[in-house]
Amino acid sequence: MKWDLVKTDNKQKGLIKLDARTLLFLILISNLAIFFMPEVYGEIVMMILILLLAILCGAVRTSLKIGIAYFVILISDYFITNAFSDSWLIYVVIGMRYMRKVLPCTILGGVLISTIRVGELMLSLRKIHIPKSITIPFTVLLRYFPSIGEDRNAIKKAMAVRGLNGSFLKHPFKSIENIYVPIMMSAARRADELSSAAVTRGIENPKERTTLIDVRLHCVDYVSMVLGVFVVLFCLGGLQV
Amino acid sequence: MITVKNVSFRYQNSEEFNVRKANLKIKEGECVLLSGKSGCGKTTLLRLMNGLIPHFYGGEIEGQVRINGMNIMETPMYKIAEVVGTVYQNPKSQFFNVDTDGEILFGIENLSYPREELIRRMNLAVEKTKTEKLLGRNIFELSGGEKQKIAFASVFAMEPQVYLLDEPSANLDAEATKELRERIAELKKSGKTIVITEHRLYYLKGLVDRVVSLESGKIVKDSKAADFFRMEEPDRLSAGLRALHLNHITLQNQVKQQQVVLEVKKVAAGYKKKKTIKDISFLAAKGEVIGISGKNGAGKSTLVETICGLNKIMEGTVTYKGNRLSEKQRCNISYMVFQDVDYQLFADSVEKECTYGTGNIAAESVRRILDQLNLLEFSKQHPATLSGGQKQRLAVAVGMLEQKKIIIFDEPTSGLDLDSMLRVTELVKMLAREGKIIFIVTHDYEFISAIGNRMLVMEEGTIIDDFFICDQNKNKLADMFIKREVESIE
Repeated sequence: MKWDLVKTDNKQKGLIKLDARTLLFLILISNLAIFFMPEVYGEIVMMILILLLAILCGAVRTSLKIGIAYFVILISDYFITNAFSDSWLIYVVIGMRYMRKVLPCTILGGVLISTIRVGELMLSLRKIHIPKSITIPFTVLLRYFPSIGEDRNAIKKAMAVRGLNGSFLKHPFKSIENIYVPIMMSAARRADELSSAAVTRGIENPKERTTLIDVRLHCVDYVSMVLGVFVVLFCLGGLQV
Repeated sequence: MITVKNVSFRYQNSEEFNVRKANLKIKEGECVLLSGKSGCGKTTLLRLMNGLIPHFYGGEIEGQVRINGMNIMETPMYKIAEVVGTVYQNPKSQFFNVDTDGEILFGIENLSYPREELIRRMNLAVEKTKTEKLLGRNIFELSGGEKQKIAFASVFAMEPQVYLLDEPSANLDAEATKELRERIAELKKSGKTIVITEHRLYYLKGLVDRVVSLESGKIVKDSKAADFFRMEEPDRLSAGLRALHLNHITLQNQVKQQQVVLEVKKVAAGYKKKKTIKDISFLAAKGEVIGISGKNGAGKSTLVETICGLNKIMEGTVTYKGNRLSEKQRCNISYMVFQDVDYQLFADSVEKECTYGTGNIAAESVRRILDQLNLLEFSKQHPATLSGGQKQRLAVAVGMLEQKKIIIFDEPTSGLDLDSMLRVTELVKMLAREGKIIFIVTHDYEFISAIGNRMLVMEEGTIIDDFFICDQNKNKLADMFIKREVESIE
């Protein structure tokens, strides 16, 4: 049999594919940048660039959704601070600001999950000398995200059957609890089964893991990282001048 | 190949020993079935063989397990992994990767084989397990049978000498069970040693060489497969085993339709404007127990979800006692018990679960229903502490308290032993006596023969057959649930 039978690049395809290390680096610097950002304009520029990058990587739909959420929050923030600055709504705005600041990195995280395979990620992390005791829980965590969607759908159906849906506005806390409790239970079970399945397939082997596909930093990775640093510096300092 | 010597084991929080003084020798190339009721210790014994006990699950342990000369208790898991491969019951939770290729490679990459070896093994595994078509797919898009194929491929690539299969057919339909049988036969032919735990037994006939019977942690019998499958019916029932021969199964609910109340007429429905089911028409009477079967993707779930009011109807009508039902009304009169009941329990005690979200149910009726379902003594407990069967009954209790007219069960008997299956049968009978209409999505022939009076068969989004379960239709029913090939190997 031929080697090309093994399809190695089946993940979501975009125009470019970044390495896990590049994405982790970008997440790190944009996180720091947003935290220290003096002006909201810099944040907007970064958000737009991150969105462009995510779309280039092929994670179009979720990124656009988060992008829209970001700008909706931004506009309502602007509107409320100008119109109702002395009412209690200002506390809502403060909460929303924190939420907003997480969103750009959420997009990058989404790109990481949807374009990098588990094996690649483990190899990339090993190449930057991160010990197994960290990489294994980290990959389990990333593996768990897509299954949350599955859980959530099932729970939504179960709530509808019980007539518990649609009352989110009336009982927001109750609704969160309804989803949260079964998800936690399912998470605990999954974690147990997942790890036992992993140990019976040798994940604890102390020898270096081999991989069929090698991960390498390509030109596009270096360009993205350099551009990332440049953009961050520019947004942090440049706009103020 | 496998020697279990005087082994006893108790899980950390278990009061009794889960396996007691077990002695077992399995020769190379043998195919052995571990049989017994739920909780008899078969899974524990399997875990003792693959090293999960004591390396993953701790507890009190005595005795010795050797596989191929290797002392399991002293060998690290990654070394055991080269010799012993395990395929689990629930394919959903054994995947570490999101893509099929990565999953097949996962084990051999862990074992650090050089690249050429990875390619050789990957290609061989894909060829032997016939998974070419599944390559490059997202795990979440696969059916239960397909997921299991990938799980097999991943273990196959590690080329273990011993295969441990933990209730492999629990989540499979007839077609996939037949394929499972073929896969096990092939492994056996290539000289692998195989140990299987299983409740559904009929498909293993002619495949296993020996049957080891367990009862509350003890090995009580070790018989040749030929003798085991010749067991008399009373012995089988007292041992709590599921049917050994499908032609012994009798149809127990041959009631014809009486008072028609539900009418489904030319219904089409689906998600996001795409019609997953179309041209669905049937009538249903009070007290009917209607099985729904069909291949994966035939539209069974969409159909029951539509009856339940979870989907909008795009064409056609659903009427109950002459009144046309809206989505909301369908939701009000029907109730679904999920295959995974954990998702539908929300409260922090059994008692509160019963009134959760409704509030206006009298405490007296809660007590009565809980008593009827043997749950009264647990009313203060957290639902998570209940057993699988108890959770299922609790979910049913909620539906009864909400006075639902239509109750739908999704695969209520997957992975159940005889006793638990009979308990579900009793439960459904009780609901039918109360005049509910019951729909059961199932691929369990034994179960539907014991309880169903009618069958809806689906294919490509529509009902292709609708017949009463009676002796005239017995062959038809059997044909649908079990592929003839399985039966003819004797």
